[in-house]
Amino acid sequence: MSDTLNLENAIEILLVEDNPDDEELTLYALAQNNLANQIHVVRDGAAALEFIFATGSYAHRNIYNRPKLVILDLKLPKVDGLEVLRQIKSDPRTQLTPVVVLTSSRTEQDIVESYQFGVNSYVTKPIDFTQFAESVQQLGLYWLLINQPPVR
Amino acid sequence: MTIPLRVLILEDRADDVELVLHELQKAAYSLEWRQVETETGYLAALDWPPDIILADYNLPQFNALRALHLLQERNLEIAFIVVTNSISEEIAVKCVQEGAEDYLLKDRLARLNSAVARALEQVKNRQQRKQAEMALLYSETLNRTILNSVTNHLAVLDRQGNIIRVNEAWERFAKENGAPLTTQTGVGVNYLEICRQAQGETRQLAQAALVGIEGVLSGQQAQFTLEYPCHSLVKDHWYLLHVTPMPSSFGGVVVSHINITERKQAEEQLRQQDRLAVVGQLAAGIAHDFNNILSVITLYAQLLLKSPDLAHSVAERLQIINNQAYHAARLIAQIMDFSRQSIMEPHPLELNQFLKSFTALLKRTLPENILIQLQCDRHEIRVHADLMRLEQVFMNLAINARDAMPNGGTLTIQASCQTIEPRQPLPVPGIAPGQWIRIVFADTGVGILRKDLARIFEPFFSTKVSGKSAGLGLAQVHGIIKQHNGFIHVTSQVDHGTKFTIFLPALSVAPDKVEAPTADGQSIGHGETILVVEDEYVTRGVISEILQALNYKVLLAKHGQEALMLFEKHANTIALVLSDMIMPVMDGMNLYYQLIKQAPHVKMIIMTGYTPDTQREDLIKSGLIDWLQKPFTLQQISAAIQKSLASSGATVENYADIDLPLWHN
Repeated sequence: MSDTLNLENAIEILLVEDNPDDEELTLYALAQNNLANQIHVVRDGAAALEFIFATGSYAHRNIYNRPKLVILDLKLPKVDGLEVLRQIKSDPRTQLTPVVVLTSSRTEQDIVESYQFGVNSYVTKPIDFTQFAESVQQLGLYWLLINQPPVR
Repeated sequence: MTIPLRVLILEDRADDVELVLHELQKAAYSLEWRQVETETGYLAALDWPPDIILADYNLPQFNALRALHLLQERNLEIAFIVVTNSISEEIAVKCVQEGAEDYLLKDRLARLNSAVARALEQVKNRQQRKQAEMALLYSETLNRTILNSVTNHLAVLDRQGNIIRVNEAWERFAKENGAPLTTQTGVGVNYLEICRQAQGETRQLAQAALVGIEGVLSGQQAQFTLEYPCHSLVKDHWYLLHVTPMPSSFGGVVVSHINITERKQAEEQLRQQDRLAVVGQLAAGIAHDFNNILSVITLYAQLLLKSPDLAHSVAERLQIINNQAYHAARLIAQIMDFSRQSIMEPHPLELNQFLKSFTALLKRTLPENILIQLQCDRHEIRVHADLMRLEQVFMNLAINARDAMPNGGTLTIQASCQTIEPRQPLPVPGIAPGQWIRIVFADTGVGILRKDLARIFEPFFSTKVSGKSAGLGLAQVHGIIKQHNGFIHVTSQVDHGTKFTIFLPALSVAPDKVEAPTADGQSIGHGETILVVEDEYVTRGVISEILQALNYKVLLAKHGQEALMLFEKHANTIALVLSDMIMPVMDGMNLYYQLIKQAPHVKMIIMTGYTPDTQREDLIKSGLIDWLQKPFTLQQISAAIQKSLASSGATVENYADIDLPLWHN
């Protein structure tokens, strides 16, 4: 992605995805609705937490400058997705950030735990690519354009 | 028919816009258009979104190249044509290189419509290609997800045996350097070569695998399977190599290594149990006969020892006969424990307290160089168990631990409650989910060889120096635990130690106070009449002699029916019936049922070498009948008789609770 410093104020979607193929697919789907321009991608759970909590290599960020949406994979290196979700949702400074889990896991336990931790939406990847692209576009449109977030 | 077309024009001069529109209107488009001249305006218009962008190369605050880059940054596929007044060839080439579909000079706009049509076509093609690529990529990631969700180690080989695809489980194994034939075999490596070059322990296995894979690759075999062990020092593993062909249009094979350790262990356990059951049955049969013989030997020896004017040397020899017979009886008792024929007297029992006093006993008896650690649960641990038998189990395990640690070491004894959840992997095959008490005896001794481990619960199997042990200790342990509906499991590592883990069903009710066994001396009768019912004449003879020596009067019957006739005749004088359990014509049980019809308060002792079946057990538990386990000593029989005579006998109320079977032969 381009320089995060310049785009600091503009980040609307934080995509947490370790697999480059999955990243490309998600970005492509979002681009169909011109939603791919204000995305920042991180590759592991630890980097996601640093971004959200404005620590480490993201210490320059303002923690209250929340992305409009976090798209989170569950299977992540370093810190797993459920833990990232738990930390976002248990801190008053970040808990208002909408988090959507986008994963291939249909495990009952993952779904239940995600909701217990306060996930805003849980989307499983469909078998068909067109359906996948539509799902991603819809969730992008919904959270970025239709949904009314609380005042920042 | 008109085609809708949204045109975004980057232009600061209105008359140039007019020119462009004028040209476009010549074509059959239903036209929508917007004009922007700044970056902000441009970015906002992208959300519209336009189908095509016509950009002037030089604007006061903006330019076509920058506009093109912004488009690409956003991953937007929109046709882009540079339209400008004057353009050098160099700039024109650069625009196209950077991704613009075309460029036009404003004074040659006649070409505009054909350029627009071509640019739209190009973008459409690109979009379709991109869409197809993405769909392919998506299905590829999906395939990978599916492949990786398989826990077996999978590799796909092409026709030449080159690995073209592996799943994560395979990769993980390759990294961990675990199983043979999966190590260092990533994509690109020829698997057949790996098999050919295998050396050492895995060579034979690799050769077999090679033949199998080549067979499936060449189509001579429909599939190939091979079970193989992969034992490390720490843990045993079993794998199943499975080779299946890919569709012939593709060629190649799928090679998978499936972990079948659990199945193998369960099979082994079952085989072991079957073997133990067979030996157990055999042992039980022998034990029963031996018990009768030993009863006679010991009782006669003891009877003779009571003779008043016995020469010292004779008494000594008799004592040796008695001791040896007693020793033999102990061995038989162990066999009976193993074959689960012993009579159990289970009571609710609190293990923590029991283990504490047991450990105290061990500390006094085991050598000082063996450290004994007891780790108990904070909570009460309750089981339903025969105290004496359980003590025997613990003692045998402690002795084994001692023998395994000739140079000292640590014996750790643990007891705790454990809940086995329904879907949890079972700690021992066959155990049911629920509440269990887990007791561990772990030593730091020499350990047990793998080949011996499978046989250690077999009777007469011993790894100790020949003659030092009969090989019955662990067989006895096994039988007693089984008879308590428990499980026992052993793991061992040579030079590191052995760990026995016992699971007993947990008991939720509070245990009674443990009754101290009464150690009564032999008692002398007062001329009471005892009816002895025993089919075997030698045993009948010795019991008769003993009872007379103990100052009782004796009536003898060969079986139940004869006893019944005698009882009718002497009902008023018979104080007690002492009967064998298994006899021809009428057995001990049925004799009892017949007797209580005539005399509800009859007193009876059953002598038996067998575990009573459920019904008999109920009877014994009800307290209506006393029993005496064969072989018994003089002291035991005299104590049993005295106890029975002192009791009040059966009552009709109690008797009403018992389900009477039909009298049968």
